Amino acid sequence: MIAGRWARGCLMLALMSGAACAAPAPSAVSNANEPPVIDPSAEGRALRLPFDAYKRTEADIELAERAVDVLAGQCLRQKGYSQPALPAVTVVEAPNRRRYGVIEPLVAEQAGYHAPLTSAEKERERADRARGGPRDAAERSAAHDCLQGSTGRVYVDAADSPLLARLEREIFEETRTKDVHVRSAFDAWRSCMRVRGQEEYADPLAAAADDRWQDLKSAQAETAAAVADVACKKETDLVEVWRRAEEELQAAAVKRHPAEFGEVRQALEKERAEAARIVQSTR
Amino acid sequence: MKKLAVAGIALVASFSVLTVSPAEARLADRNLITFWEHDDYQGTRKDFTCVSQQREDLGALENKASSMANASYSGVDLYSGDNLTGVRYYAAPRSNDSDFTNNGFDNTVESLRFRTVPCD
Repeated sequence: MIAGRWARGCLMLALMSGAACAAPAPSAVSNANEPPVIDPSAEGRALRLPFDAYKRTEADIELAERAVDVLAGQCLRQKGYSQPALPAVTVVEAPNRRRYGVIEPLVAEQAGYHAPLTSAEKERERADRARGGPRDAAERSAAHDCLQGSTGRVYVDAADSPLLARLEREIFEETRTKDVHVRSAFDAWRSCMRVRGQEEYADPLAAAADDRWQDLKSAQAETAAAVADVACKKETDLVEVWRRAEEELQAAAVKRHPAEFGEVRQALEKERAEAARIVQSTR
Repeated sequence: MKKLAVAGIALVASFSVLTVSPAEARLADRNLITFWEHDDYQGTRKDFTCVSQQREDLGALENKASSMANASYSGVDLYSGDNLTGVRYYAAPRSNDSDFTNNGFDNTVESLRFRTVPCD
């Protein structure tokens, strides 16, 4: 993490992209060996549930990561190393984008059932790779010591609630397997898939889990299935039916456990405030 | 989920408690997340390194993992469905979970994504 090492990577990046040392602007065109870059659509961004307010957002995680990076950088400087700070990345909130499988036509067309990268993820990856890693064992050891201490100062344990996670899983499975409206929507979706020449999977998650999609030879079939899947979800209103069923049960769960959910929110606010303070202290 | 209170030699001590040999503990320091078949870090284990962001299936431990240790400095998103679908569970950097039952993820994780690549 010596500055010179990063500067070489940065120079190479700048020569290749024609950009300055900040990560280059993400492109919609991707290499064949990596997922395409597709930001969440309006539909993906709009998919919200009550529990979202009690979980780290993308912005929270990005802020916490930068706060750890700031503290680790300060720690490394005290040990005689230097490390440029990670750039801020503009994230898009879409916490449930892939919750019900593929729901966006562009993703289905370009990635099939596989997940695309977002611009923010791509930008962050480029920045991380451009910065490079430790040069030797001593630097690696120093970096790990600094990261260990910094991570412990930023992340708040109580922000990860086992109760919330368990309820979320239970509600998801309950609606998936027992809710009559969701089951009815699955039936309609299966019929639609059949009409479009696709297999009758149990539900959209089973379609996403077809082992055939691990084989590149099935890429065309995967794209066709994913495109049909998205169209059938839209035709049957499956996503909104499922989301409403979950929304009702999640809202009721929040009311049943006010103290526990309140503690989670407080922990998140504490973590968020401390991370923001650390990041702002460098400005 | 608990933080891994480990650094340097303490890592070896901590992972010894988790019935992981010193050699494996050194491996665990290299930015990976490890899943175990049973609670308390027992049974078959499978390591995933943060060389690339997405691991879209857990192989032999798909739907069979009962505990995990994220020894990396990257947050890791765990998903209940293949190809990063279903419910997401965020494993914070340097965190572990000895029993997925408490959070409803026992025998559930099917795919994962490292948030920082490379992560060391």
